[in-house]
Amino acid sequence: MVYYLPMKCEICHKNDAETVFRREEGGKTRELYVCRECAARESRPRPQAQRGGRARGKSGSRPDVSVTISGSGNPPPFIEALLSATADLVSHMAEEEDCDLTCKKCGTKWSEVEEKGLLGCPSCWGAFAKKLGPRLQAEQRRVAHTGKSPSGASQNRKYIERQLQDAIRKEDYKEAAKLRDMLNALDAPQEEGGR
Amino acid sequence: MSPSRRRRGYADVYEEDVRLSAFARISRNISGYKFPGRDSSNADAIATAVGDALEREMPSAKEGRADAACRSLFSAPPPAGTTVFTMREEPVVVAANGTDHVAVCGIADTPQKAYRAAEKVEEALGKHLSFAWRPDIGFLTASPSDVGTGLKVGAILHLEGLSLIGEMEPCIRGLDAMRMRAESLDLAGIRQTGHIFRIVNAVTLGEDEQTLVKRSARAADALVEQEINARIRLVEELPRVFSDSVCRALAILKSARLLSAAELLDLLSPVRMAASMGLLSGITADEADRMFTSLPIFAPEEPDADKRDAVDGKRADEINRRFARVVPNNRFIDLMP
Repeated sequence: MVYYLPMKCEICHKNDAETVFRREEGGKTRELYVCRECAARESRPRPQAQRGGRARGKSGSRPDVSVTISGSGNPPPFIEALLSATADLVSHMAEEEDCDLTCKKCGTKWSEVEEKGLLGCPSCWGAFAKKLGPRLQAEQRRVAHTGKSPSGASQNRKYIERQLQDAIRKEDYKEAAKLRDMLNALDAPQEEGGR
Repeated sequence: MSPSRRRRGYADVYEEDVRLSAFARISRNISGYKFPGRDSSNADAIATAVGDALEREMPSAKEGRADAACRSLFSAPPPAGTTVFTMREEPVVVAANGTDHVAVCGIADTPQKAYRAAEKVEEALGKHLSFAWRPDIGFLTASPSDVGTGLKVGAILHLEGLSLIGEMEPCIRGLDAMRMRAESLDLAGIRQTGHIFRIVNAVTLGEDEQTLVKRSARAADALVEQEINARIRLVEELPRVFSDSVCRALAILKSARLLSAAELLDLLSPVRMAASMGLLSGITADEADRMFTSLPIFAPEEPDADKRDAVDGKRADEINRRFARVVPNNRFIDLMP
């Protein structure tokens, strides 16, 4: 059974409850509404506990884990292992989503951005857009640029092309190579980087 | 009497003594390169490109060390490897390979003038350098708090009066409502700088440059007015608080045997205020200002305890000597309850 619970975890009282956890206490079954982390912790095998379990998980935005513990004898070892592995997987799912987020251009991970507060290259703005959007909304209160734009961009290209022709005419190949690189940089999409 | 001068009883309060300077910093990055914090291998190439662009547009630009006032434009000391260019035509410093590839910093007496100066140099650089930009979020910066316009603009104010009467908190809340922020100034790596604050915009995205500049100017003006009123109130209504703060600071400055840089800044703050109000003899407001920005005094804290004591002791000796003849003058004595 799948539960959707808009309330705080009854174990840690910090995270939102995302699943229901049934625990036998004094001969009675008690339902606890818990977060994924606490569900994973509680469902790990305990040496002295008699348990049978069932865990289901699938990726997606809606929580769908339900763990049931009953006192009816030890479960087979493979069920125990499966239960533990699945619970761990589910509990780390959200965490992994964040940590795996990496800018392909410069290799910066989102965890590094969170730690240092600095992005690695202009492409990071695209790579971490999902994470940065809410942050910009909170810090900057608006998320659309209304100020200046680099209006000199087209003039800039003509200027560099002229300089390049001059450099070639003067056989100043070192300067020409530098100007060629600048033109190549202009050709690259503005938000891309990571050279 | 100067229009900025207010006389109350025996004390003069000048707007210029509260408003130390205004600044505007425009952050830009060159398209196609990793930001300096991620990769320093292109630092030389970027510094050369910035230097070449400046040379073409601003012939007097030269590589050099920024003075203390320019350093104060950075929220933290510029990272190692930062190349700084200064120029004669404009009151502007250009830093290459700081947090961003390029930071153009203008210094003037108002935020408007500081921005105009910085904008002129930024536009000149833009003719030769391709800045990373996206139509939806503007200029792309290393820090999410600078994205959009890349502009931090504001003023550096000495708010000793407001701090002394305990009214800084409401002012900070007021600034927050205006999307502005009061940051303590960083001099030579020391953050507690004797009630000298950098008033700067908290938002860089979603509002154009002119709006940010005008708001910064308005916030600075409002705070200057509040500070002047606070100083007048101190003299007229709270003379014991005022005189206690100044006399206590003077006593320590004259006789302390160990003085840390942070403590010194806190002690200099009320002395500077009293000197600028013409209430001390043996020190002028200009001399107090020079002490605030005098780098030999404000050497960074020594991590080793023994060496730190030696540095603090030497600093205390120097300050004892400088303050030996500084005393409250007759106007100050008349103020005392």
